[in-house]
Amino acid sequence: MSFRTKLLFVVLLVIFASVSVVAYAVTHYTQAAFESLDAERTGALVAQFKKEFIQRGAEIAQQAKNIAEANATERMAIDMSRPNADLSLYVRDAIGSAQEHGLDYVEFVNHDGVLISSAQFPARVGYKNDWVTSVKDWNDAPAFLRKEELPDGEALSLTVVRTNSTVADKSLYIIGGHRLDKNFLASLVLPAGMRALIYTNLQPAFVPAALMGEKIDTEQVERFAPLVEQLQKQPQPMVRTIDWTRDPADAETFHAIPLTGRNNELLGVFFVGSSRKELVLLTRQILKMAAAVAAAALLIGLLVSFWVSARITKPVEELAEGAREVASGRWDT
Amino acid sequence: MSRLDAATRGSILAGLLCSLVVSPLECAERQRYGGTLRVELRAASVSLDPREWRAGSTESATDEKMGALVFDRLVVLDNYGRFQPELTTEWSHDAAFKRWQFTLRTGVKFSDGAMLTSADAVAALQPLLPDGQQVSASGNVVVIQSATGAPDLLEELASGRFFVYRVQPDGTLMGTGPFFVAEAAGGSRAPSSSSTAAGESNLAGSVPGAAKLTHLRFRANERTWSGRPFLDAIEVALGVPPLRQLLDLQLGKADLVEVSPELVRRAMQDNQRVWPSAPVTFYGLRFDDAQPAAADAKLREAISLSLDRKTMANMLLQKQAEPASALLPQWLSGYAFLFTMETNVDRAKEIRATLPANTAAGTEPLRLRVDAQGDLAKLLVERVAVNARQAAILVQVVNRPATRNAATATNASSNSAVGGAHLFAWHYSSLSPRVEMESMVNTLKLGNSNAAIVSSTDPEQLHAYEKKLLEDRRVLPLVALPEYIGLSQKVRDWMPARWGEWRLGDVWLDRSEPGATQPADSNGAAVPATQPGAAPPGAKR
Repeated sequence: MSFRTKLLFVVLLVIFASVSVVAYAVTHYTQAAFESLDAERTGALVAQFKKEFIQRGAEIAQQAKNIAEANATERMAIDMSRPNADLSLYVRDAIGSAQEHGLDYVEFVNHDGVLISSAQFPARVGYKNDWVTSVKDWNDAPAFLRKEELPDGEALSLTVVRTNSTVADKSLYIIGGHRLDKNFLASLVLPAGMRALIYTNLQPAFVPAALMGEKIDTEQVERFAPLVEQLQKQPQPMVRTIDWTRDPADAETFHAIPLTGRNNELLGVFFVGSSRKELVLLTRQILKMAAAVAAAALLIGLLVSFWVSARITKPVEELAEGAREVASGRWDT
Repeated sequence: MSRLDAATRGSILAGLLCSLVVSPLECAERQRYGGTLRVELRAASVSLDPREWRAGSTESATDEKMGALVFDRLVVLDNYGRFQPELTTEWSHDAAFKRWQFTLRTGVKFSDGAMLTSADAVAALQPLLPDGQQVSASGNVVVIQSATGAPDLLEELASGRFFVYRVQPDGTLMGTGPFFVAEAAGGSRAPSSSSTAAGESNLAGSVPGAAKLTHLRFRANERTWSGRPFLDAIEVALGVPPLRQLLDLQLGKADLVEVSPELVRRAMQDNQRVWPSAPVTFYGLRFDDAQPAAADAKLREAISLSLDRKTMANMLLQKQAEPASALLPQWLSGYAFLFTMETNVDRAKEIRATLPANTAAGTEPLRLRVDAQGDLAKLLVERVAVNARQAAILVQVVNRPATRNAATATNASSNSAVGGAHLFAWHYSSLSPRVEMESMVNTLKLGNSNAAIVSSTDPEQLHAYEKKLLEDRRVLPLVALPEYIGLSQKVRDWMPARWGEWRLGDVWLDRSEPGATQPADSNGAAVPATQPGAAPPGAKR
């Protein structure tokens, strides 16, 4: 290999290495910035969800308190404290209270735990709700998640219990609740490229219909089964990326936040999905630009190095040629 | 002082005398002619053709009430349980009750003025009578011949769809009742009834034959044999939701409404007049072999033991219903009190535990279809599912699309094989326990009806037959509901039959100014402040 060629290769190598390092650095720092931004957005959405959760819980608590303090409820509490009270008098009261106070679920439970009236499942009246009477003071208890039994199945409810203690030692319990479903998700403000889903974990196995949210098709639902199953075993927050297609741009990163009930049982999962499309496209753009820059640099480098090497090697080659001619006896060269 | 005392005594005596003599004359309830009774009904449509009515159908109960306005029966049963002649003046039968003779009342006219003949009665009754009973005419006498003895024929004819009518050449029906149809809107099947079937100008007042009517206006029949009814007209609005009916009653927009059981207390709290009938609608469960689980006698026993009928009647239906332990109510059979339905969840669980988990409503739930319509049926079926779940029996409630006809529903259910169990509603339409039992068994396909037993009117045999049916547990009684009618304060002489017959021919409206009348008693009796209106020609005798 001639010196000229060697020099040419060295120059090209230096250019290529420089462009690659710059491209890698740009890609890496862009990706890191993107991940950081994504984490911030996810964190903000989760915080928004929690805030909404607390705010909704406070609203339900206020409505349940209003019901507990209503005159009609006081009359009910006094009536129910009497021996041989006629429960049938109040069997439809919960329906009216739910409509009046804008709650999805309202139930009145007697001091002995017997369900007096239910807005969501009137056929259950007369049965005992022992979990309500197991707590002495509900009035300061915050909202909690609960599996709500309904005539057509089960639902996830954000529930609050309040008591009417007009009659000492014979409290009347008021259970108020809102259904945690698509409507709840609709109240969240989602940035572009993000989506929120809720899975109501009310059955031991994965139930596709229990995953609720916007823009989710049936094919995608099944891909959540492993995540849910893992969360059912270990209810800890986790992050997973799902590749919807072979194209990495279609991948989506999901942050799963388990939602638990009063006894820490897993009742639901809140998924925050963040599309990787932006990042992948940006990375691709960077790589394309790097390739273009590298190609251009190599071409320019090739020409420049060719010219430079020519400038350096030409006098040497002429000197060598002169030397060869002198050696051959031509002294007039 | 002694003169004053004498004067006082005289005044008191005069007052007493006046009150004794004048009060019954002046203060007695005086019926008034005129006015329009505004009726609101839940049913979206009615059919006024008795041939279309199906025994046991809750929809046909409304049809029957409307039919009673335009048609008459041969005989009726009064509130004291005595048969009274209506279109017939006398009747007799042979020793074996196989041949009955009814002498028709003379001078009875249809609303178009044509005379009622025995041929009309024969033509009307023949399609309504069951197989084995032949009706014929002999002069002014209608003869009903039965293959087997029919000692309860009078009960049969005094209830249900056994009205006398005449079929017109255009397919419409003509009646002799106290009212005739002046306007009838709606209808989907009879071409003649697509809009107005009989206008005001058509005093013939024929009833659209096979049409489903959505709005009705009846006018008083001046020619009726029993004397012109007090009301001028009856306006019937159909398809009115229960709550709207109650509000209309409260606001004075309606005079007679149906009050659903869940609104009875509310109506009473609002001081509305509410009249309850005897329990006339029966809710029960029936099982077929469409699902293997339903064919399991042990499972049926477990479900029966899990059912809490008292809570259904006393809590869910707010004491406006009775827990049912028999198919026929006490007022109809007289022996219903002999049946009891035990609730024993522990025993139900034990029985359930002995059954294979994978076959008997364990892994695959027992499908329970709601054949009856309305919120009440939905509530009951949900309670059945909750009760069954307590005994570890999985029940899946299957709602079915609404159909108007109970008999159709029954047939459809057996064909589609969707449900293994069915919640059904049955309206008692006959005053004969035998006929009612036979209709129930045949319509609901409760088993192989043994004709020899079902045709017997002997209460002991009927009881034995019903006991056998209940022990088989292919049918489980749940609750029996009365009918509740809300009445405005204007409605007077409301004297319906306990079994739900309205008898609007006797009703009159107190149209005096509000506040000018004394408070109404339980029967709506009040003293009109104004003089009674002059009785029109053909007034009630």
